[in-house]
Amino acid sequence: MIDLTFPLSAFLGYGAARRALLCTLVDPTLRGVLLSGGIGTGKTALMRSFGGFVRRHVDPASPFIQVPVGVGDDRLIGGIDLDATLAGGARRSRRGLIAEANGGFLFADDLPLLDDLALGAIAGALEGESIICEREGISSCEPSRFVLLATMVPSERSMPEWAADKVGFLIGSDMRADADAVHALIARLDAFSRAPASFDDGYREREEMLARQVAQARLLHPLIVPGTMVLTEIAEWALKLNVPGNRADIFAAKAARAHAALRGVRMIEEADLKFAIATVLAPRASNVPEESPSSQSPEKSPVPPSPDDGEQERQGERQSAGEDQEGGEAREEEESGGEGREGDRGDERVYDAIDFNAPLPELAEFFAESRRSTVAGGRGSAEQWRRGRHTRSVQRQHTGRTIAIGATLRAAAIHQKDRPADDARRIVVRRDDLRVKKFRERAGTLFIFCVDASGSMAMNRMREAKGAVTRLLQEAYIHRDSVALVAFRGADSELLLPPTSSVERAKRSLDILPTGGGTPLASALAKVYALSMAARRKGLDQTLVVLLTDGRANVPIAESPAGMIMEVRRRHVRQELEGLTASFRREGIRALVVDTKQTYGARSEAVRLAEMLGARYYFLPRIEADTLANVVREIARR
Amino acid sequence: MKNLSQGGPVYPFVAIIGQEEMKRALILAAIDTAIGGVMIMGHRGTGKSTTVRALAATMPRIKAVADCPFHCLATATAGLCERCVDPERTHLITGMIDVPMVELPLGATEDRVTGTIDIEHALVHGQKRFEPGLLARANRGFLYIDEVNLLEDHLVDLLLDVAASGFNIVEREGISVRHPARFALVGSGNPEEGELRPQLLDRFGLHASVETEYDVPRRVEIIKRRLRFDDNPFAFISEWEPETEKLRKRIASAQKLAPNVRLDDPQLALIATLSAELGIDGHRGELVIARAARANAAFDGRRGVTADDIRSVAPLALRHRLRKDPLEMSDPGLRIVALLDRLIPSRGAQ
Repeated sequence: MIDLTFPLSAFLGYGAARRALLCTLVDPTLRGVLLSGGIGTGKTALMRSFGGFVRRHVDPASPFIQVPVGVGDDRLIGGIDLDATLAGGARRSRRGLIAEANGGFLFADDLPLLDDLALGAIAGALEGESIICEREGISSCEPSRFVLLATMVPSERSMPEWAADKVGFLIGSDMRADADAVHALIARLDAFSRAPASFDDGYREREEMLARQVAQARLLHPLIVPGTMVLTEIAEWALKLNVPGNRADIFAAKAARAHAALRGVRMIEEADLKFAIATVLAPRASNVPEESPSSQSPEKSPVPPSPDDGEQERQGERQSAGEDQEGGEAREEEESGGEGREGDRGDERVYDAIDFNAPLPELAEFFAESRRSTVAGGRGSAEQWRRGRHTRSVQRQHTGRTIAIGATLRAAAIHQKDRPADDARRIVVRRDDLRVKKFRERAGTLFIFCVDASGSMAMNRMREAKGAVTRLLQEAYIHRDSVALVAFRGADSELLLPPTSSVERAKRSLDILPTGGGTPLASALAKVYALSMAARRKGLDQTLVVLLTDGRANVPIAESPAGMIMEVRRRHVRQELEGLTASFRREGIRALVVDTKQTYGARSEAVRLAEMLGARYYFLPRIEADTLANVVREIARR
Repeated sequence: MKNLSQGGPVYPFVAIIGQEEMKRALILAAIDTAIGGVMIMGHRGTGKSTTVRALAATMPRIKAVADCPFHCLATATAGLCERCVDPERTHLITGMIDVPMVELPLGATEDRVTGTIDIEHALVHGQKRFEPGLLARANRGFLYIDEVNLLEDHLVDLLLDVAASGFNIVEREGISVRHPARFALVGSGNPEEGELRPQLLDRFGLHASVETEYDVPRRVEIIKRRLRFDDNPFAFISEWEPETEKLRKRIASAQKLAPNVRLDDPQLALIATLSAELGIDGHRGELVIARAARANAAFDGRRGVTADDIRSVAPLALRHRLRKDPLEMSDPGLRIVALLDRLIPSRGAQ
């Protein structure tokens, strides 16, 4: 008997997500649904309830495999089965979760929290429809066609794009939009948990109807042939949204077709197209148009047509990021039009980075130091016995270390002829056979650049600041460090670039960063703090925060209720900063404050900020006039 | 049917639309493995891995010793394994096999890549015996690494060493083995997911870059073909089989012809001038252009290399060898093309 799960048809909201899930039943080559939304918005509940629906009403035999957070590689990919090997006296392998999901569903809550190897294995299996295991003496390739159901919390680590791209549907949760729906859903969930059976009875008919809809759609699906006009429209939308690659087009066509089949029509219509664009193409829109802006039509907007049934559906994370890029200007104008907020608001504009030729020896030295400490040892030593990626197995004192099973068995195997086996144990392993795993920590340092893009920075040398970051990025490239970029301006800070080793991407995000608005320093520090902690959890101990600012914070995280007195607001800002900087000191997060003020002054706010953070302070040197001239010429030549 | 690999039906190479540079690079590397493999870099979702997998299914079958784990060619005079090199080898049975296409999965452990002691054999017989790994399986074929920038550095180093020497030397757990491991290394990845060390890039013979297809009618055709393939892969594969067979024959004859293609002095001079003007260190680039240009001529059925051959392979062979400004966004291949246009007065001239 399957445990009762909350009926799928009792769900409120999540219209697009529910339809996307049903589409994967019609066409499993859509590969899956990645649902992104805040904590406690019911993402996991929806996935579970879908799983229950499938097993009870659609495909009772199809596997529904959950990937636990922190799953080991062996469990996920497969590997040697120690129990069976020891008992049987011969090598036995054990299937991994990915192979077990063949023909069904793989469910991963908080998918981006898996490490890159695990993500890579899942993404590779999605694409190759098989899972190859070449580990610890086991060599196998098993078919693995499955649909991936995954959730993520956007404020935590974001999903690497190469992995997200292999899933058809990328959907943002819409629960924030409608408080009434949340309340109604909570009430229903509550009613269900009090009396599951009777609640379930109340929805049985609807669940069965939904199942019939799926069954009919499966029959209808092969008869629908997307015509050239429909496909042209998809391709044009993909171009308009600047979706990288051509895989998304294929997913969109499949999504439209499956959606039409679910609606019981034999032709792809407007509603199906809208659904496909909203759930497949729009979330993949890249926020950096690669064509020159002039070639884009002025009304170009990444906001897709809203799906048919009137439910307000928020799009995926990246899409809203795109909106910020595009629509930011208008919003900012609106804000600055509002009267009397504190903070100097220059006109918003994008400043080019200056080629920064001024010497940065001190800064470079600081970088070198942080790197040396990476190699030197301590928590971040390059090779460890517990964490990181398993690189090789060695014979070594094994107390408290992870035993490498394959290597140990290989060491023991050769001696078995000479070791009398008793009945219970077919293989005798002695102490000196034991091999332990040697791991390697991720190399390099994570540099978190936190750039003040507020209005005051327009005066305070934004171009030099960008130039300096560019120089430092080049440094990072040479040493294979990874970088993240946080910018703060207006009402809020923004994670422009999650940790990546791609300097190209960092440079691009920096280039298009506009300046203007207030200085929400606390919000930025909070984001930086979360990033460093997340990096630590992932075993990347060496982080260095580089904060470029003039230090004049004036926007609190908790936005003041209207009419808050100036004094109170200032106090808020100060208190937030004190709290946050204390956390930085407590956790020993290393930071560097680069002062971008016009002139150096010992009483600069940036000096004060550096003290509060326990950070190094550095005054960004001025660029000599002739250097500047050279630079201008250089830029003009390009 | 050939288009069946470990994972199921494979999309036919000849049905892939566009991406001419990647396809040409792979074909050249397949004609002459001494070119040194291909690195494919580009946007996600542009069919990189589809194309590589498709290539293997297009390759002409090869003759190999029947039960040799390294697929030795019995008539070869060099690059044979210890068993096949034995004078007794006249008795060996040979047969036709598919060109090995070995995929190196992320998370592979070193023992499976290089090969290690055969645990089963050790348990049963108490003897050490070598169990070949992925490098052995890839001999005379392709070794493919998707998302190459996610692979551990120490594994990449190992692969490049073996790819360069043609032999895998295993010294571990009390066994000592040296076996042939000659393969074309193919890597693919997205530069946005992390950079590759320049010294690794340099070890790949050719470097193809792929971009999203922007032409709408072509995009539509891509979707149409893919939908038809996914709906009925076998019908789709047989539909394209005549084309596939044509390409297969063309590659087979190019493989025979390539070693005999002439490379005359004017062309050699052009190659040397090109590398000198671009300021490329070392001579690996020049060698690769020469080999690739011959393969290119052979693929077109010609017996002599022309300036046009050099023009079409030079960006592939040199793109990743230029001194790179890490923040330079434009394709360095364009620089090479511009220089070639200057060096070669008119198309087809000597």
